[in-house]
Amino acid sequence: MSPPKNKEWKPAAADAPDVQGIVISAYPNMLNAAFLMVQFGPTPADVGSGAKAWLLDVAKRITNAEGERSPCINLALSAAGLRALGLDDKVMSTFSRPFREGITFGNRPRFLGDIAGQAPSNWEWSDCPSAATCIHAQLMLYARDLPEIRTLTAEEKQGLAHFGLVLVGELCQQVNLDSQGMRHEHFGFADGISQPVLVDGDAVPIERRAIHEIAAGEVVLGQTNTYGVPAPGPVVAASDLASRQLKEALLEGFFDLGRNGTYLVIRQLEQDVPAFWQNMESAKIDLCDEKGNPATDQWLAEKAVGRTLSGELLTAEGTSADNERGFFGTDRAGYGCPITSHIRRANPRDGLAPKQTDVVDILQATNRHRIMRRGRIYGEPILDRSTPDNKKRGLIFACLNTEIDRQFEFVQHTWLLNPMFGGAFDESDPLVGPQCPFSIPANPVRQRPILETFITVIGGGYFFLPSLSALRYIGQL
Amino acid sequence: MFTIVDVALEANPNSFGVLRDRVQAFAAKEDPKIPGKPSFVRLNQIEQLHFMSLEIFEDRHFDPLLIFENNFDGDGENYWQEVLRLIGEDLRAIFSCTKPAMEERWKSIFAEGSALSIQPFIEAHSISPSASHFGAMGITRQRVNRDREVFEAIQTKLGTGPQPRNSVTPVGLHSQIRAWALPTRAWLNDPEKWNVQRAKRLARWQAVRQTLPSLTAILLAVITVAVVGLSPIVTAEVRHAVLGGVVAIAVGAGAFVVMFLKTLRHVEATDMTQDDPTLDPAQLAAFAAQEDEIVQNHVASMVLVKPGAVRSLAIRGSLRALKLFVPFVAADGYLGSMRTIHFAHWTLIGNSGRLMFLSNFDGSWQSYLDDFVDKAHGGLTLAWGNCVGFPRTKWLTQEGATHGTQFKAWARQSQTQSLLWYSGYADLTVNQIWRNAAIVDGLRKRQLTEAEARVWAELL
Repeated sequence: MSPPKNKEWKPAAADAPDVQGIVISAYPNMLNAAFLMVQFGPTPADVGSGAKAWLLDVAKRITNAEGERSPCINLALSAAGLRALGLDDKVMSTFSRPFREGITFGNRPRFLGDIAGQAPSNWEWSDCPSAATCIHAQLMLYARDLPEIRTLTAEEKQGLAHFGLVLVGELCQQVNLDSQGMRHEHFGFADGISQPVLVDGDAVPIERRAIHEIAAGEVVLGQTNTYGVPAPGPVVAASDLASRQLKEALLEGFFDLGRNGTYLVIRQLEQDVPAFWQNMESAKIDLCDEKGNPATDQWLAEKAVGRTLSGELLTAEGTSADNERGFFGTDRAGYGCPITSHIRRANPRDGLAPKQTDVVDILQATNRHRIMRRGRIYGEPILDRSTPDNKKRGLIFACLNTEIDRQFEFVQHTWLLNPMFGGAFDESDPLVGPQCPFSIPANPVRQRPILETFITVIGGGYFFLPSLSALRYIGQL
Repeated sequence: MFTIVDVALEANPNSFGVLRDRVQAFAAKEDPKIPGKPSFVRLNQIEQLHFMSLEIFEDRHFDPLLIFENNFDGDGENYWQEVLRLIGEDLRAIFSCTKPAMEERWKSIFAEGSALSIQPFIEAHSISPSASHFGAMGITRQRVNRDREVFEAIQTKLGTGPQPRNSVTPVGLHSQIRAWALPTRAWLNDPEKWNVQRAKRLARWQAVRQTLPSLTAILLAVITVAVVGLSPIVTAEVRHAVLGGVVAIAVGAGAFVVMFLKTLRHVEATDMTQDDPTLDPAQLAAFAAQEDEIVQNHVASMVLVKPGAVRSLAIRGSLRALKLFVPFVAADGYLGSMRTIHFAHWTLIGNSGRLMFLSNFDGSWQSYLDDFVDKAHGGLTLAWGNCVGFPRTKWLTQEGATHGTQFKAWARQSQTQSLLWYSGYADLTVNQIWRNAAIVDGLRKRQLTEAEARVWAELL
């Protein structure tokens, strides 16, 4: 049994005006969003005072964590963006390695499965400094409805033009609500259900955290993280400007640039909805559901995801609206929710425990790799899932974490795309992985259809989501 | 029985460049990493070989050290014969650039065109692990391959699933598959050649046997004292003298233990640590370029042992304890709750001045080190806690590796690139090896009970 729930962490009153709102809220009432993807200039030399003036100008409008307003504006910067703004190598070296290298650097694409059809060479945008569509800043706009987001987008575009900055692209997003107010992604599944809940890492020791609770330092730099230490973030050497804008770092002679900020991972995942459902239609042949009846495409898709379309968890006894449960106790072998289904790979909870006595330890270990998701869909929902309409649509996957390699990259590599996850052999994530078999535990023996992938990465990057004070510091450099 | 042997050779500093070139040329020959060109054509022929590696540890305190890591089945007789037949001349060329090769007694072996075997040289420079761990104890390379064939054949036969569904019970499924498998695999009816239980017992016995000499000595001393002390033929004076001696020794030993523990806690609390080990970007890039090509990865690490008598005793005791207990507590491959290690070992090098760690494991470096932090920190701290720069420990097994970020950076910094690394089964995890073995074990049985059949069918 997981311990009872604790009080959710919120920034202290003094910090709330400094924390960007998106850190503590997914803005549930803002039904429309647009990311303006900004480039400051091709080389640091070309970056005039415009970029910094723009940062300072935007900083005045940025939504903080003092309570939801409408509309909401947040901003994140890539490593290429920070370098273009003049942060020197010394400061850059204090940022986390994956962030300063970027999502397309070296062998990272292989590690993240961004190869073959998913390779960055095919992407429309990235954080790679040598790419023509390298993104320096993501200006994230959120509004209650379409007219409001249109107005806001137009205003912010004018601002960019005024300061002489380049708009590389625009990601318009919305949410697709069902009658119960639940968000759905384009394949039709309820989304964003399982989120970690932040608790004070000092006040609530790891053994007292409930199933989805993690230390605030897993998402907010400077807060106590899962190892019981402040989540390490970037620092700058002491200076007049630093002492005006930033708090002193734990390190003597330095000021804390990371405090109240976090890292943001964004991936643009294009979805081919009709092809996905056609694949389910053809792969369901020869399969049977739990009652022994011929399987439907929906049954197979729900097995692949691990939830029903409406978001209920598949369990050995049927489906369940209760999400505060592990897998080991009631569905260890995955007769309800297959071990290699998407949601079990994305967050295995206690399911990887070898035996009952390991359940507590394994859940704690799993919770060292949680991410705070902030994704939304883009493109119109399809009218008929079986009829191609040649419209572009997909998911803007976005997540916040303080250690990209221990959190986002771990989830992607060690869980989602791991061919041997949970004792599988040569499989992958049935949604985002490449074409491969998918084991569905059944009686007397597993069923194992081959599933293809209909999700294509077409853009992505690692970003630093600074505190407002850090943003003002950078703007005044 | 598994054997781990490292050949440890100090490089001749004057021909170090040549040594490195030769190791790299050999690695490129074995593993060209060119699409379409087969890899490890020769090493694949060694049917006892699980994992092999070659690395050079550079250290500003020492001349470079060449390590030739071998993890194989059996006691080595057949293994070395095969190794020397297939790659003996490459090894000769590599080893000739080391300090020992310059010694008078080995000159004839390394003379131009020498036909003498290098086996005596290898034996003379082989070292055994101070502590080791195996993920799939007793499953030989040949058994790994044999079981894997059975697994793959069954997967192909089952396809998406039996048709029609629900027409067969688990017991019936087992009988069907057994009937289908037997005609081409008559060995299923023979007793298991590579019996896991036997291998586990053997490993435990070997662990115990190593402590037998010291146990025997203590036992003999106790018996002697008892005989002298209780025997009616000795005079009261002698008896008192013996009793006095025993008391004196006991008091001395007690005082020593107290002093030792006090000093240990003192050094644990006051030893300097390295809180932010520097990581060389070029080195990290080199690791990243090599890692995550197959489901397993390799780590080769070398650290300095802390100086002083207390640390020296502590590290020997710790490794001895691991050597004794790991075969008992981790015979199923689980270290704590992690089972991702195929072959791993720690070896004290150079009169215990350095501690080497070589490991062949499943998954990424990040996931492996996180497992260490989350699931096996006690054992890891025990093994590494007496080494220079390690995060602060308490009572040898506490804290230490739980300082996650610090520990991971420390481990990464101690690592060197593996110039050659060979895995005998590049796409199998430890879990999969056990899974395949359990499928075969079940298939050997003529009839399963309902409960057994359910568990067995879940493996498919």
